[in-house]
This record gives sequence, structure tokens and C-alpha cells, in this order.
Amino acid sequence: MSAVDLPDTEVSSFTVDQMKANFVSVAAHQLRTSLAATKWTLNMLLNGDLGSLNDEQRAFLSKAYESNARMIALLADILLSDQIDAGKLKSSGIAVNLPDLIDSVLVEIRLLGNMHHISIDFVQSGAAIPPVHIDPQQMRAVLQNLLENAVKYSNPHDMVQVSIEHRPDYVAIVVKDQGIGIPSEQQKDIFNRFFRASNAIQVEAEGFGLGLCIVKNIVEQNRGTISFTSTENEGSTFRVELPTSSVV
Amino acid sequence: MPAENIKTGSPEITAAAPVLRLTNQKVLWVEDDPFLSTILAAKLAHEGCVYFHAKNGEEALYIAEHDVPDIILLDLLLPGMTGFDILKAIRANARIAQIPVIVLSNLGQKEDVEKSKELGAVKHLVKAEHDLDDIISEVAKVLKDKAPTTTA
Repeated sequence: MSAVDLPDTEVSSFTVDQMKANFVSVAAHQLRTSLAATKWTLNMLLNGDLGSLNDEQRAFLSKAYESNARMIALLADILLSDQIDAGKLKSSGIAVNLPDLIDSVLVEIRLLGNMHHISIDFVQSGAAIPPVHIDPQQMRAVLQNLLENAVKYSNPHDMVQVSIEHRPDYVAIVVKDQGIGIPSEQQKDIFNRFFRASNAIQVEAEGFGLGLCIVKNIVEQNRGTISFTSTENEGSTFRVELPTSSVV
Repeated sequence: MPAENIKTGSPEITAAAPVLRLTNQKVLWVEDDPFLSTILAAKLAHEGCVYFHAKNGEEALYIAEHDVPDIILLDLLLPGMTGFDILKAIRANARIAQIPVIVLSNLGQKEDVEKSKELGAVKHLVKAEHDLDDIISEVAKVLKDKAPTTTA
């Protein structure tokens, strides 16, 4: 059901789960309104729409803008997580050109990369990649998540590499970094909700451990698989394989 | 519907040197949150728009019918009629049915986005996930696509 239906729907017909799902959705809406107001205000200030800024003012406002953006991203993760929890995550698969999707995600990720002094290389084999039948918005979230992790958990001047491999039955997206890696004894837990590796917490204090849990759920919902290899202090490689057949 | 309740334009915050990408385009923004309205009003004034603001469905439909805006930005959770109700009413009224509507809401669940599209919205943008600059460029894009079919 759409959250907009809440006010005029009979409360008695709700199950507890429905009420919880709506609570999260409505609460998220309220939080987002406030976060959007802050985002837009900071956006106007940073654009100089309300007068010119000195460097110090700009630097502080940029920090506030980033902090606000992190909160918005976290809220989006909470909403997705809640949908997964309620078994409500649905995918609307359409034929998607993966290189185009990756290119568009990289526009934002490269900005993040610049901030962290990480260069991001998209390796294209040159061979045509057939379209895959996936939910483009959900797969965008997957790519954003994997690439943001790769950047966040890299050391300055490291390189992040994205590549696409075409095999007879599937297309694989590979995201490889040279970052802090995942300690071997913790690797079994990384797709668990709220889990964060000990070294990841040291690098990036913020974060709720939702990202990879969401990624795995979305990939599987889109009939794909995800796997990784990782060595502490050497880096991680995540591999998402998506079938090329369009049978649902 | 008293017309004097309807805020048109935002002359007090018009910029000295606006970027006139949307000059003289009539934009109706339906939003009940006063602070968000103020910020967007300031931004649209910068862009040189003729700006109409409605706080609820009745005001929105009144302005849509009387001023026939070039584009409508529509929130979903509103007091009284929801944005979806407003969208249906716009589509059911031949005089204004062709006005492009961008849903601009913080409801971004898949079913909300799908419902917006089903009811004929050209876009569904989640406010918190778009900068004002993105929103302005989406508006400009929609108006550009629409341009060949308008008589203005």
C-alpha cells in the first residue's frame, strides 16, 4: 500500500507489521522534509545565491552539507532495510545497459573520490555488453554502495577499479580496491545487518552496517549473486553476477 | 477560494542578477511546509520564474485553472486532498490536463513512484535526494521538451 493512504485507512484493519511499516515510512517522510530544507538552504548558501562567502564560511558550510547528505543516505538505507525486512522489496526489471548505468553512478562517485584522493578507473573490454534485465534504481543503489565503500575504505592515492565481464550466461560487475580489506575472521559476517568490520569502524566512525546487507538482498532479488575476496591491508574485490536471460 | 490567500511571485527576494534560465515561465508549486516553500520561492525568483504557491489541493486546482501554469511541482502528503488526488483532478480537467506535473515529495517508496507515473506525472523526485539546482534543471528539461507543442 502507498504511505499516502495512511490517514484515511481504517486503523483496525492494520496488522502490527503494516503499522510498523507505515510508521517507518511516515517517520522517514517527516525526517526527510527537515533534511531537505537543510540541504536546500545550504545549497543556496554554497551557490552564493544569498551573498558571497569567505573561504572559512564556505568550508564550514560544506562540512554541514556533507553531514546532511550522510544523514539523507542513511535514511534511504533504513527505508530500504525496512522494506527488505517486511518482504516488500520488489524489483521492476527492465532491459538495462550496464555500462551506461555505471557511467552515471561514477559521476557522483568521482566527486567523492576526489575528496578522498582516490582515482576511479572504469575498465571496459570493448566488447558489447548485452542488456541485463534488472531494476535500474535498485542496481544503482548497489553500485553506489559498493563504490562508496571502495572509496571510503581506501588509502589516499589508491586506485579503485570497476570492470564488466561478459560470460555466456551472465554479466559480472567487479569492483576492486586497494584499501584496508576485511579481516579474515570477520568475512563471514559482512552481509549481516548492523555488522561493521573492526578496521572499518576505525576508518569511518559513522555508518550503521546496513549497506552490504541491502546490496546482497537487492542483487538476489534481481536474480543475481554477490561474492567477494579480501585481504586485510591489501584490498577487497566484490563481484556481482547478473543473468543475461530475461526470464523472471 | 479567496484569491488574496494565494501568494504569487516572491518579489521581496528577487535577485539583483538572476540566472534567467526559466524567465517568465509560470511555475506552480504545491507544498504545505512553509520553510520549504520559502526556500524554493527564493530559488525560483532567482531563475526569473513567475511563481505561484499553493498550500493545499483546493488552492492548487484554483490556481491551475485560473493561471494555467507552464508546469506544476506537486507534493504528495498535504492536508486534505493528497497529491495523488490533485493529480487525478488535474488529469480529469481538459483545460489543464496537459500541464506537465513533477511530483516533488519525500515519499519515495517504489509504489509511490509507480503511482505517480501511473497518474501521469512526468517525474517523481524525492526532495531530500535532489539539490535545488537539480530540481531547477529538471523543470527546465521538462519545459524544453514541452516547448514545441505550446502556443506561447
